[in-house]
Amino acid sequence: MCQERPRSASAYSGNSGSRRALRLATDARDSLAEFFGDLVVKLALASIVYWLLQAAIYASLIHSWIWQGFRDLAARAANMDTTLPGTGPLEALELSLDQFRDGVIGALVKVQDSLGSGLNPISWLVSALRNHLMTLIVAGAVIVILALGKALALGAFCIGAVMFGVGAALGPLFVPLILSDRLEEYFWSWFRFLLVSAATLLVGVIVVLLLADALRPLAGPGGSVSGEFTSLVDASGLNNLNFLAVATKAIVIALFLAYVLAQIPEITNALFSASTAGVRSGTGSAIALLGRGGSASLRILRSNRSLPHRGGPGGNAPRATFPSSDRSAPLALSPSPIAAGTPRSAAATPSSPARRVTWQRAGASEGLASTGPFESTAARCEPGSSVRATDTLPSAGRWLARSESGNPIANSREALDRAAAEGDPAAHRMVQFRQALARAAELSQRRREARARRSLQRIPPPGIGEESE
Amino acid sequence: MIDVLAALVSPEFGLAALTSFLVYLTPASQALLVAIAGLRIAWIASACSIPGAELTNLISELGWLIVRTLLLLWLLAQWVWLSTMALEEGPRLAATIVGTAASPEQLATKMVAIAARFSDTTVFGTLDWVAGVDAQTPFVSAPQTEEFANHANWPAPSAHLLTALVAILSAVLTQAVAAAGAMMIALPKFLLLLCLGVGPLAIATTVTDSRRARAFVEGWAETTASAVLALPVMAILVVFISNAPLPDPSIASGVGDPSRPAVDVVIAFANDLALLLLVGQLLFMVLPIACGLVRGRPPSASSFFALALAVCWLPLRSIRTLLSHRAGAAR
Repeated sequence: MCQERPRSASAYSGNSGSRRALRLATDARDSLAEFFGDLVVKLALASIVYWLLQAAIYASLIHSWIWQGFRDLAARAANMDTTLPGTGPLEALELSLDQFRDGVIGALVKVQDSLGSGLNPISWLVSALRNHLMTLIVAGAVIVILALGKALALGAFCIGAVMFGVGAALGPLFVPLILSDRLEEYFWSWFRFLLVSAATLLVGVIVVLLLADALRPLAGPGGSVSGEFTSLVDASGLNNLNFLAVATKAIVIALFLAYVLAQIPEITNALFSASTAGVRSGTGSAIALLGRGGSASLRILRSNRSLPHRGGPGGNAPRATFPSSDRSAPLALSPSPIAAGTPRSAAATPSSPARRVTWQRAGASEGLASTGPFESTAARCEPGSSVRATDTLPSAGRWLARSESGNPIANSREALDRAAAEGDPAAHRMVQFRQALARAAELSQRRREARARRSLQRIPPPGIGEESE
Repeated sequence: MIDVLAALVSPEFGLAALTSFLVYLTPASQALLVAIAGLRIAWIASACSIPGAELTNLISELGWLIVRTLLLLWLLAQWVWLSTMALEEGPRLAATIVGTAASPEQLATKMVAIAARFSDTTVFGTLDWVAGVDAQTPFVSAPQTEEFANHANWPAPSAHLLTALVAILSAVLTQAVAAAGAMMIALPKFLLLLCLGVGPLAIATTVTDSRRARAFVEGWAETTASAVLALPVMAILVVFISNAPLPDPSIASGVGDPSRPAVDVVIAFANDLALLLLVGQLLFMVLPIACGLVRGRPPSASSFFALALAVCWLPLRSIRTLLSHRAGAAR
């Protein structure tokens, strides 16, 4: 009852100052030493903040140390002495993109010239609609995507400087927040923002150097794709299919370039937070976007060609499944009820055999030629056994047996416990396995709770003081 | 346009609506706060009566609760004044950071000047130019002649079609950038008004000490801080873009010149588009940068990239929608 509270400093760090002052007023037995220790630390911090917020010192620290330091690093990485490191490779990238664009436009002229020839107005119209318009749309898409890549390449270098300027300008608002336990994290957020912004230039230089090296054989002067464009432009007449093929390559390269350049701040973020979640999610969203666009175009094509939808009444998409009537049959791929014309709605009902469709690896199917997917568990329990487990196991092992419909007869926890108590070794192993899983889950839950307590230090966790007593 | 943007940025915009809203919400929040505090006091009092209760702890808890409740009640009573101050502080802070050239009107003028580089005169001038060029007969001869090497002799219908497409795209993109600028001015303001409107409720819930209430208050505080910081961020961005050596729109140089080859117009459009996308990307970053400053996570251009890709896929998606409508009508 009268003990000290050794954890009070960490657990009550949120509104600890005023709260502890009140506590001290009512209970002199609280840790005075801790209180005065914190006070000394705060005073020291306050004096550092006061010193830091003087204009000359702040400007020197932010500009000369952080910004210039990362800039020098970037210059060293690029092995250049220019004022803005990385501009050489950036110019090379821009030049490549401009070459692509000029190639597209130059080739477009030739495609236009070669189309629409002939005296028949109907053929001219058909040609205009099918080739001319298609080529124009593709050329427009290439031009827009190349412009986007160029904008992102320039933006990757601008945005770091802009963000650093914003962070540096607003710094005097955030620096004093380090004195408050509750608002301290905003100071660290600002500091991290500043570091990441400054490092964006460094990462941008490295990424642009890598990209320039990787793309030089393709898109640089004399590169393969550039060469194709040159030959298209130099050709006297041009088939629009050739144009579309080369334009597609340009689209792919420009999209890749634009995406990687757009990821520069994400990569920097990942570098400073030791997590690649942002990059992964960015990749996922980009792939999802591309997939959506692709699926939209496929749907358009399908609807134009009146193709039946997969799985629909006319759809003959093959599916791999098991024959539902014979569960002990080899795990071979066989036509499903869906493929045989069963409507999708009927196939999706819980009682339908299609619900038990299971994809198995080829190796597993070869090794378990005479057992079904569920019996394979029993076969593993009894090494060397290649016959059905339900036929060989003792009566206690009936917990593995299945009913006519294929569902386990005894799939409850109690049945498993009962079988284990009756001496079934397989059931015993299953129980041990279950307990190990439960222990792991419990441990994981404890870790999660501890992490949550750490991340919510402002909230005094109920009962912590009582626990220590 | 300048008037609209200046009105959006000015501190008076939305203040009347916010005040009239707060007239109802603030007393309700005060009542909620008093009710929660009363419940907690009753709880502490009942805990005191339990044998073996730590009286010192409970009394300190009670004292802290009363002090905090009084503080929050005072805060709620002053909320309208605090909201006004928060609305005024954004422009004032922006002016302090970037100098005197950041009054709402001047900021709006600068924003409009950025968009006006790609003005409607340029765009519609290009359309005029397309209409004014002499139409030629379509090519029907074999393409193996000298004139195909000369871009100036591009078949007129194709040149007209492509240049008209380019001009229309330029008009759309110019309007899109102008709209992005206006949205980037308006969005933080609306967000700030919303946060200030919800503020009394968030403040009242702080006294509960529950984890969810604390998460709500933290989210509210971060969003409010982002919205307050958005205007200074925008001012810095606008000053940065205004001072950057951006080239003039190259498409403008050909307006009124009927002898200009259509290829040059397309190349000029591509250059202008890259510049326009760069400006749009920077303008798009206002709220993400403010938000990243508070959360310590600088934004990337991925969202802008995704937006641009979505715009690229827009024709395909539109065709798909049209086709599905057509299929539905046929059924």
